Amino acid sequence: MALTVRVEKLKREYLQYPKSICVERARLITESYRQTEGEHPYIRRAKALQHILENKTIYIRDGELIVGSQASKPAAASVFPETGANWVLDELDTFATREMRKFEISEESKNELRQLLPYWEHQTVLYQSMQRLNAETKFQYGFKYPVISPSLNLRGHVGHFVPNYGRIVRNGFQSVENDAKKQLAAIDYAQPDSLDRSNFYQSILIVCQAIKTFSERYAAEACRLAEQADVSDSRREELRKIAETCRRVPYYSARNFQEALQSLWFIHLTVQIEGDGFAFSFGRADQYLYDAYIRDVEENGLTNDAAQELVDCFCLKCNEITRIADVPPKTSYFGGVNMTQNLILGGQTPDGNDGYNVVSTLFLRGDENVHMDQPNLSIRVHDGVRDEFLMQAISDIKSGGGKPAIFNDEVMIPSLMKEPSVTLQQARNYGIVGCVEPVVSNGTNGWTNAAMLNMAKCLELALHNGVDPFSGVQLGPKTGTAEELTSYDAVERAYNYQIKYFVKQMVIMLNTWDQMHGELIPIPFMSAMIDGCLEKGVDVARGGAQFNYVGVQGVGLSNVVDSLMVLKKVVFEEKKMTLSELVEALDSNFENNEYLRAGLVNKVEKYGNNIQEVDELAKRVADSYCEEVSQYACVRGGKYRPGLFPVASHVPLGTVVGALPSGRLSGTPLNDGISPVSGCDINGPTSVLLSVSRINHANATNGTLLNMKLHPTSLRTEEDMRKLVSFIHSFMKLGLMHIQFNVVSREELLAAQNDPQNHRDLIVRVAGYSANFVDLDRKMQDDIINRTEQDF
Amino acid sequence: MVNSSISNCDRGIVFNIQRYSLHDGDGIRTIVFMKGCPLRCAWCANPESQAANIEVSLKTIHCIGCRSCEVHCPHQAIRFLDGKPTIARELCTVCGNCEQACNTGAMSLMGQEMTVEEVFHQVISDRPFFDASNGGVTFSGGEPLMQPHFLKNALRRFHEANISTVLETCGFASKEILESVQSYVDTFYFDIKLMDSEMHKKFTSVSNERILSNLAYLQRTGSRVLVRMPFIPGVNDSKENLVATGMYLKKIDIPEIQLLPYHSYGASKYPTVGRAYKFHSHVPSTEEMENARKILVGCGVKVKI
Repeated sequence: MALTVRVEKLKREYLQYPKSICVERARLITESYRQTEGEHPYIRRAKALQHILENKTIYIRDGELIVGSQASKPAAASVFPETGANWVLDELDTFATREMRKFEISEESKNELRQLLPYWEHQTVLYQSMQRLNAETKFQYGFKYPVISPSLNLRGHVGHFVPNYGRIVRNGFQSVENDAKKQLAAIDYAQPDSLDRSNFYQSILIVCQAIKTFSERYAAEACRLAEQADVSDSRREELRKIAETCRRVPYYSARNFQEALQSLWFIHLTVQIEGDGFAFSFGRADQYLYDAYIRDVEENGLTNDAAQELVDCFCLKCNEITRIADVPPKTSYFGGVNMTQNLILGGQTPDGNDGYNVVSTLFLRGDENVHMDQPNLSIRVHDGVRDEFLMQAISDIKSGGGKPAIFNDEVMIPSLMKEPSVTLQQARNYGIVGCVEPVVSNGTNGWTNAAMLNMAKCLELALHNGVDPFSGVQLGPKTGTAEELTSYDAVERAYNYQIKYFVKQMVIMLNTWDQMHGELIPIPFMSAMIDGCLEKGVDVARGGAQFNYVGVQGVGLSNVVDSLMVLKKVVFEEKKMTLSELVEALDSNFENNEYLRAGLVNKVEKYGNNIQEVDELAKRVADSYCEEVSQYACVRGGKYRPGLFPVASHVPLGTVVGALPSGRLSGTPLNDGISPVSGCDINGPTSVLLSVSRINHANATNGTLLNMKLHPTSLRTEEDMRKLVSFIHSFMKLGLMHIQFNVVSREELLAAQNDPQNHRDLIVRVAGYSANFVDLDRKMQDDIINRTEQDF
Repeated sequence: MVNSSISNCDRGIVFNIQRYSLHDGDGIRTIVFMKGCPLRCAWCANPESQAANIEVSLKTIHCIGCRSCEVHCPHQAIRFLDGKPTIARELCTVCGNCEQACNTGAMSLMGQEMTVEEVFHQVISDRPFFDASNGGVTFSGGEPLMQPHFLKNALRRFHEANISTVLETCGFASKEILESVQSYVDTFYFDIKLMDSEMHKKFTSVSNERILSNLAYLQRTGSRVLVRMPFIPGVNDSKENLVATGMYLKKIDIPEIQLLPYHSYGASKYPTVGRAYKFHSHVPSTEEMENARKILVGCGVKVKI
């Protein structure tokens, strides 16, 4: 079933609204904070949310079945002064004029923000953290060409949760309220933690009532609209159903599919009114929505079409969540506004069965129908996965957009169980946060995207005795000049020493941010839905969750590996040039030396081609980062977890790294996760999988990312799609964690025409035919590009 | 006629090993493309496969004009015109110095001598994918039967390792050669072009009697044979040819044919081996394909497109 007229119209209309900035939330939270000065931070945060939910503008758009919006009008982004006061003030005049990610803002709104935000200036996480940082780390943080990019959780809320949404859908907030009341009544005030605990339970009681009031306001609005004279009979019926639904959920349990989806939407929405984090993720929605779905089918005869339309409406809603894009200097790693609300389907159930069900199919179709970037859809696969499920997923992949991503239970579950306190049932119930980060669903505060560490920059520093070649500043430790590094092993040791130093600096920064989040901006509404908090009486921001981590990503793995390989072969084995000569060529960005550069690119073996020597080096480089990170502890009482994925940071992080021995030019993007460097995997997708499988995935406990491009000629027929199913089975057997397929778009083929060296991996797949796309002449390429469009 | 240019039966000339191939047999396959073909089909999509010997391939699109190949050529076979290299092929001895000197891949040797073990080693790494998909190795070309001893040994090597084998062939070889490999081939992908022998000779440089009798022989002796025909408007799309094809397949008990719509993706590879693509046709429309299908089905043959 394609999109219905209703959803098509809702989508079209939504896309036409201009993006704008809404001051309402900033106004309401400031009003509340002025009234609660001196109270416990738990209570202040709970009362602030209550004040917002009771007073914010609400509306229901014509045709909507799932209701509830973040700001006062469609496509508007709220201001979160508790995290953004400093930078929003700085960027106020540029929101409407900047090139990327513009937001309209009226002069009136600007003036109001200029009144409101100074109140917050000294109580943001950003301000307070900077006050507490030691001088050395502060210098590393503020440096123009930094190695570490830790700003995400400094300039916004943390986000990155898979909350226990299932509990609320099934039992309602009423059940949370009952738990909190019992706990509050049982407090022994002689215990040293009793004050914090009692304030915590009181904050929970406040938000339970606040969410009830919020949904009831929507019920009233739906009733009001239903009474309008010009409303059609069918719409009136719908509005009455909406009113009934909103009176019920999320405070009470959901009895049918619409109530379940509406309940889920309300709580997910409110989470993003409480905080402006990224990657609030749904977890295993097909598992916790299934009961309500099947009950609706059995008791009310819910049809597949009706269920699909509701899911389509829900998927569309996910795209309405937005946040003011903080567009800091280009050296910072995150410029995007992809909210990465992960929703994952299928996989093993806690008792080890296959979890794929009808609701999984509804979401795969919904994503294909709506065809927008949210939700960030994923699937889980395991030995018992059904091919029918994979074929539905491949149908969505074929539609373009790189979704769903695929996660391998056979690696994820043992990886999660490396933590002794995680049970098999909990591990089997994992969800994915954001892009690729695995967590035990319901009970984890994983800070899974806390920072990026630029591994390629560390190599650059190792080749320059710790001096940043852009500025001449001594940035890293002195690990030896090019003349002093007289063996390959010495180079690798110097690199590892740089990594060691910067991992430590990163930990100091993040522990500071973490401490300040707990002190300044607890999140009681989220705490109500994270297992562990209610038992302990501790907010999730202060370590209430069952499992606590900080996840930090190493970026540029393949660039480092390919570069080390060049150093090993060209400099130390073949002795074609000295290290100093090579470094000199790098410093000039291979100016007038394209011949040398082409040789380094084409004549030295690269990672991703199933060459054992290179792949083993990749394993070693990955392990050294992972082991260095894993030894540190975080302030909430958990560990640091290493990841090997970049979100979108490989592009901006590349801008601060000069030319590398692999032949990569200064300022160009780094590689994407554990994927080979773009264009260097010239031996086809099977070799990429074999290479990548040599990396120890289970060590990268915060996740890995493998992006694989498919030429459209390889997904043309159903038989092609079945072959991709087999390929996914091989991916599982080889022990990889994550894979994502991107059917190469027309735009990328056009890009390949202009930049053949970086697209040598595009193979045209036609029977009995042997050719790389970039080897064909322009006319032929044009022909294939035009055909590509026809086929899809 | 088939005549191996290589005396040592353990070595063959291979010009590409392509992985994750989807349209050349069951499952996920790795194709070993072999040099040399006895036919000269006017529409050939792999012109670099035709000559049996190793050639220099020149992809000017990758050339950065460093002239290193020119400097290193001992026979002055390379000259630069307007900043781009040209090869005087009559002077070239295929010594490979230019490939060595070229850092961009613009100059490369098309074809490489490999032993059976080298080929086996390179292909077998894809075994996890063969196992998951019922795939395997496909020998293609060129015409692999041009290198019969090597091919036989290679096929046997894979066969004994329980790897499924496919041979893509134009069928133009002696019966002895065909017999020598037959037991190691799980599936033949057998290409036919035209039923009229004169026309066949005109477009491919050889007549078709041997091809058709080999096809009948393989079918009769129990090999699994899948017949394919490149469907080329203006060459073999006439009702007359299609009826004759259908009747012949029916006669020799072959139930199905796959039509491969003509494409001109090979055209831009001609200049890389110093030749020009002179053939003209067009990509058949869905309607043309459908008409052909109907005619063949009318003869009692199933058609896959």
